[in-house]
Amino acid sequence: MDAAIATDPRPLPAPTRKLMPDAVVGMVLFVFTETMLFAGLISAHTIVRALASEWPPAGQPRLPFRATMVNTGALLASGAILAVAHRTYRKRRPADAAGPMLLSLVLGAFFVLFQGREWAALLADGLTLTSSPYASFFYVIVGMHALHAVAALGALGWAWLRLRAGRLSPAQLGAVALLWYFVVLVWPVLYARVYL
Amino acid sequence: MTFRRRIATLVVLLLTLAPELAHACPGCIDLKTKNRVAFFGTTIVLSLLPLGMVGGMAAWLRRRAKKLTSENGDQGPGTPTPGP
Repeated sequence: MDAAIATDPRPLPAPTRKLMPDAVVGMVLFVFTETMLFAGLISAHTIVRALASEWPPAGQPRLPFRATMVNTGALLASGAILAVAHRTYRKRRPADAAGPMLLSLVLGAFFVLFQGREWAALLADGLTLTSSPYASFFYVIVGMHALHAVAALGALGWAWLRLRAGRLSPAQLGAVALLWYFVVLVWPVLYARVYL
Repeated sequence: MTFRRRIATLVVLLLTLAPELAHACPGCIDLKTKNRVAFFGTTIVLSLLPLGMVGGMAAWLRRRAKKLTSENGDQGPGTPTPGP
């Protein structure tokens, strides 16, 4: 069979210009589904919050919205810096994109670690998953976002290693960057609904 | 129409008058304005968000296709790229 392939006189099909690379199409579909997941969670939260006579419930620790605002700034900065790295890469200067990409990764990791520290403090204060609907929604919505952030950081780290090795394709960077932009842009909505 | 069919039609019509209002969830029956606004708002968002995303995607692809077509002259997207 190998011999048949080797002697096949037919030429290989020429590469085509696609509207969108397959990797990016896949990531767009994934982001669409995840957008609906978060929209559903926020909708449920909005209804339960409207039905409650008091929100946040009495006797429950308050969420640290000021400290999280600073953390939100770090995440937004991470997204903006990745956009700079993305643009630099597209200008055919991949080596110059590695620095901003690493900075974006570090800021994203800072965001996740800060959230983890915040969770530990809230658990110590008695805000647990089962203590009230207020706490349940907080842990489910913010936890779901943290899960996405960790996965996207892993993808970003993978992309950075490939970039350093000179093996990162534009489609791969596009897909990974799209996931990170989603994680960054959905957070302010979650913050406004859950913390404020 | 036979007598049995007339009776059956009459029974069906009477049955439509029998049920009371049926409410699917606590949000729907609550008379407080805040709850009704929340329920209505989330319904609108959950209905329009997927349509907006698909519509936005379609508009972006259309714009991109036009751009590629203008860059390639008469050739549209999906045409082979020039060789090296």
